[in-house]
Amino acid sequence: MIGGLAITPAAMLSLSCVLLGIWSVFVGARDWTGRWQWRADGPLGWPLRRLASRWLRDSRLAAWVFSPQGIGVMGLVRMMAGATLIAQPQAWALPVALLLLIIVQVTRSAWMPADGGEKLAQAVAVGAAMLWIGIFADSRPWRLAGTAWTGGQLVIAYFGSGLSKLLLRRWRNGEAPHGALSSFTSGRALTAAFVAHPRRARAFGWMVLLPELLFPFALLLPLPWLVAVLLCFLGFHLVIVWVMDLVAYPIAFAAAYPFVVLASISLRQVLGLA
Amino acid sequence: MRLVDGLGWFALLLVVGALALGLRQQFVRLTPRTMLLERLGLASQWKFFGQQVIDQCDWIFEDLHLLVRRSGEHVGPWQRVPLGKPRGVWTMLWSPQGQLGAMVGNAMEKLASAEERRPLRLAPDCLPYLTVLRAALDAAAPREGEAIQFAVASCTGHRRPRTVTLRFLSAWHQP
Repeated sequence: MIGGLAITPAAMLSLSCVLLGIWSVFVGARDWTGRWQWRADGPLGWPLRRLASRWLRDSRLAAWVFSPQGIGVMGLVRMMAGATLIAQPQAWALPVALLLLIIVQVTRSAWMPADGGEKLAQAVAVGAAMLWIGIFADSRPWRLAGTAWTGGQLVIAYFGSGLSKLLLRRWRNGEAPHGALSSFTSGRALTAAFVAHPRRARAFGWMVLLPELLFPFALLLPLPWLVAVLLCFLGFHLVIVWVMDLVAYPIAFAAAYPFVVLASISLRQVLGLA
Repeated sequence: MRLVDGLGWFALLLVVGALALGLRQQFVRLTPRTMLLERLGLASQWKFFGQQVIDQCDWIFEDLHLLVRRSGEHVGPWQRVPLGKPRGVWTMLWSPQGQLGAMVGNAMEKLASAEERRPLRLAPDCLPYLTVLRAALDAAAPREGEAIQFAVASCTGHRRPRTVTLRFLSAWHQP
């Protein structure tokens, strides 16, 4: 039990689906509201975008999907699937909603690059679908597959971004955080003042890349410690919301955290640490 | 063994394989084949401000601005094209027009990078060029007989002294 919540696969699936649902309603509403950006005579219109794809160039379906109507419909589907994931009215409704989310995400990714939040939300949806099969059919391998998929994706996401920063000279010497947090696009006056001093910028860079790099080891920690680590990462994401306006990210990442908890429990059992 | 469990073990095997692929993806340069894995969500590359270009490009963290001017009888002044609303508390939570700003910004970055690598060699029918031109035409549609030119400039943001540098200058275009 953590904070009155039983740590069972069913409870973790439910929690993850609620968070994924909130994310989905949010990005669906954003797609619906901003669907005009895909009008045919605009910079994102299909007549221009089709030039980027060899396979979809002459597809009439793709032309509709990436029009204001298509993007609007995908936004509506995301909102409805999200509302279903939040309400969880029937057991069968959950996999249907997850499947719809996966279809929308794969369709969008065929043409436009997904951001980190979208990629992780897709990993959560796939893992949740497998975990649902595991719970519904009482099958341990499916539960393990779902847990390993989403938990593993989050571990790779943090580790990969920590590693990529470690390999960059400008992250190691603080120039990168100084540059990013001093721009109008991805910084604010306060963050610019904070990283103005090279030593502070370098310390901040290492404060970001080291926890990311060491995140895989968090899976070996006892549950309360793991939860504390996850809350710290969530706090970091919330600060990023304020600094960089990436509001959808923390919800998508938080949706993957219950899977990390389940993965940690399984791993500690295998290693005899439980 | 139940069929569902057998399928489950198979799914677990696939998951382990895909995770191994995903781990490998962190160390490779993206090619069309690895991009396909990325787009299908099977093996993603996670960077979060850790892109290779950071070590290669001096202005990567500068803000890029789109500027437009028109010419009829005289050449008009440069005008800055806003690609979204000014940042504020509300835009932090809700900015549905962000996709447009992000994609046009991305195209401007590509133009500026290409110009830096091979000056004056960029074909005006490439997608980044057409994307930015379309955004410029949207913002300042020329009247009949007028032509339009756009520029990409970078600015050092909150850093002092604040400097502005021209990164790309387009040809003149008449719709």
